[in-house]
Amino acid sequence: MKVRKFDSAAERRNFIDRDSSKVLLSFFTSGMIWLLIGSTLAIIASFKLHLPNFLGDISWLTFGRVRPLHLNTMVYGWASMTGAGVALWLLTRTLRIVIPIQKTILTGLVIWNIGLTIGSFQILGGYSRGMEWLEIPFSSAILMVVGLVPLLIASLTMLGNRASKHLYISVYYIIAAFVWIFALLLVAYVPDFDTTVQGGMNWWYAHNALGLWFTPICLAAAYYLIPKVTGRPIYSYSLSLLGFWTLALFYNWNGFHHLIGGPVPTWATTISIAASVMMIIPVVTVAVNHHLTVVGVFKRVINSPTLRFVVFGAMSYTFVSLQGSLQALRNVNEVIHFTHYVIAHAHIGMYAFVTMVLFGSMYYIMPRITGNEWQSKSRIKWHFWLSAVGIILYIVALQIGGIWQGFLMNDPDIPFLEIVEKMKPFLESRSVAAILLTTGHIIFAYSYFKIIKRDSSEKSKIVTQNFGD
Amino acid sequence: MAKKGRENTEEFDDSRQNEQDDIYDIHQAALRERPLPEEGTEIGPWWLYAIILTTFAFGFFYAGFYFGEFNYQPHQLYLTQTESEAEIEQVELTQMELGENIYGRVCSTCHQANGEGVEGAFPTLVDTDYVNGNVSRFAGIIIHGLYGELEINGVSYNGNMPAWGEQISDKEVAAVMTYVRNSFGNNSSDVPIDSVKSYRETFGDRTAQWEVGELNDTFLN
Repeated sequence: MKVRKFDSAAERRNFIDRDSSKVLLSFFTSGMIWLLIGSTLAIIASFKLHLPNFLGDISWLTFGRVRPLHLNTMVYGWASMTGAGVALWLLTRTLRIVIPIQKTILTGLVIWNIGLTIGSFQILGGYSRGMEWLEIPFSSAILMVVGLVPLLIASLTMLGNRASKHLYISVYYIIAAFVWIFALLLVAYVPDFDTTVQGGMNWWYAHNALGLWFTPICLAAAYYLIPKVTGRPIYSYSLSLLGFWTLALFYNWNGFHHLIGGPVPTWATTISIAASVMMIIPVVTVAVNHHLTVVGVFKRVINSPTLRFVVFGAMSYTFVSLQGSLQALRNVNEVIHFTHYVIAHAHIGMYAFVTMVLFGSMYYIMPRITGNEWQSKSRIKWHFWLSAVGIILYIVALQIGGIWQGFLMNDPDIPFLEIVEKMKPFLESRSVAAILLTTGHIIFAYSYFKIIKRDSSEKSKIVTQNFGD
Repeated sequence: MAKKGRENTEEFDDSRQNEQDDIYDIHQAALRERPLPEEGTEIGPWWLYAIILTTFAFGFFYAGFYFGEFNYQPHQLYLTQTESEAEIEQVELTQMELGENIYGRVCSTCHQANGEGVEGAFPTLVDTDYVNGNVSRFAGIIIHGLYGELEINGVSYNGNMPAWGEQISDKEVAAVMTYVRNSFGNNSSDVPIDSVKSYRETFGDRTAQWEVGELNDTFLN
């Protein structure tokens, strides 16, 4: 391998960033398009819940197809593609090495996009596998897996050829995520499970996709960006490691808590509940580590476009995980299972945590890989506040409504339709939230496509640099 | 850990950033970046360890307390932990109570809660000789199932009733028969468990479903 000499760290960073720009921009642009598609589907699905006749005559736009497609485009399109891009960038930074096999990675991304597009039409056409998070049939899912392979190879190659001896904590998380996602997909698609075991596998997969794929990538981003922007060192390296290994140890037991009350052996759900409670350990450890890093420089967090999103995400991670530990307990689950509460819980994970961290990371990465600057402060502000207010409205409305719904459903004297009627205002609030969030996404997309287009006018160079972003 | 980090401080250091920047066309974003600070080596506040230990303790006690039995049986926790076996056996249901329970669980899906069935498919249980007449024939329908066309009070049915003999015990068959014979306007004698047992003795080897004609030939002639 050719060794390059650099006069300064800034020069090396610049070289590596510009070298990765083609790959990263492809991932981010794909993710961005899927985000807009997914947002549209979200609005359609949300409106159907309080206006049941809305688009009800067209079979491929019925709720049972639109809502799974919303999930799949967001998860395998927006979050996975953007997440993979962020992960690759973090590896170039922490290992100080350029991205290898770029052409193969780009080909992989094309195949991945084709697979997801075919899968989307299969879901709309009614060929879903009927399992949440695994609706995409084998025939197109295999294409997505093929698209992921170059990423695993690239990340392991980068680890092997790294220029830095010290392994920053983000590297642990990212390499683990690339390995884990293959283990998850292997179990989800290869063996032919049926009946109860299939249900168990389904939730094992769905829960782990969040916990062992998106969570590690986003924690890695937070671990890198917080000290980078604030200039404060991560409070404790040992706590970072403790957080990583306890996550690795406890997370993959959690999935069965989705089957409490279902026809699975008692010991299986019990172990899962215990492991869900144990998740308090990695979560509190990471929270303490992040919090004690930013304590005292919180003003910088508020001012920095990157950290605003990332710290919002990191705080949501703590919140959603502690909530998860609590709601896995049988007595709590008895109330909230099968209510809108759980939907909101999932969105704190996938939106308030994962998506917000990805937004923040993109605000940091884009000026570096394009050489351009964000051109409008107010667009960043609008994006942040629409996203933050939107998701908070979503969570508050559905979780309060959901708890009430749970108590009503547990009372056999109350007719089901009466409960449906009572939930209407909460579902309408969700549609308002969906519109706010989508507006934010459109503003972000506009900023994004502006920054890709080369524009070297002096005026555009002052938006984020004052904050060290 | 601190040492490991220190080896790299040179590489993290931006101080050598120099005047030649314009030559390399380093852009603003890369230039204004702060170096990544080396991680701290704090061991963390004591209460963090208190939380970790408490969580461990809770997790293990929870798992131990609610573990149940390590087998394939689904969901036994609520039975074995909340009520002891003895308590369950003490509850002695009357034949009618047990019968109502079985009927609601097994029969009402097809024959409906009011016993009137569904025209053309599921025969009514109201005011018919199949229910109120020969006890062995009634037991046979439940235990081995029945198919074929039959007519009750001017309405014809062509259904296919599965055999329930494997799923429900003799005691339960007798109970549900008693319940049906005394509900929905029916008013016939209770069915002792011995009648069901004697049917089982006679037709114990049978595996086939009854056909309507065969059933009536066997029991009514």
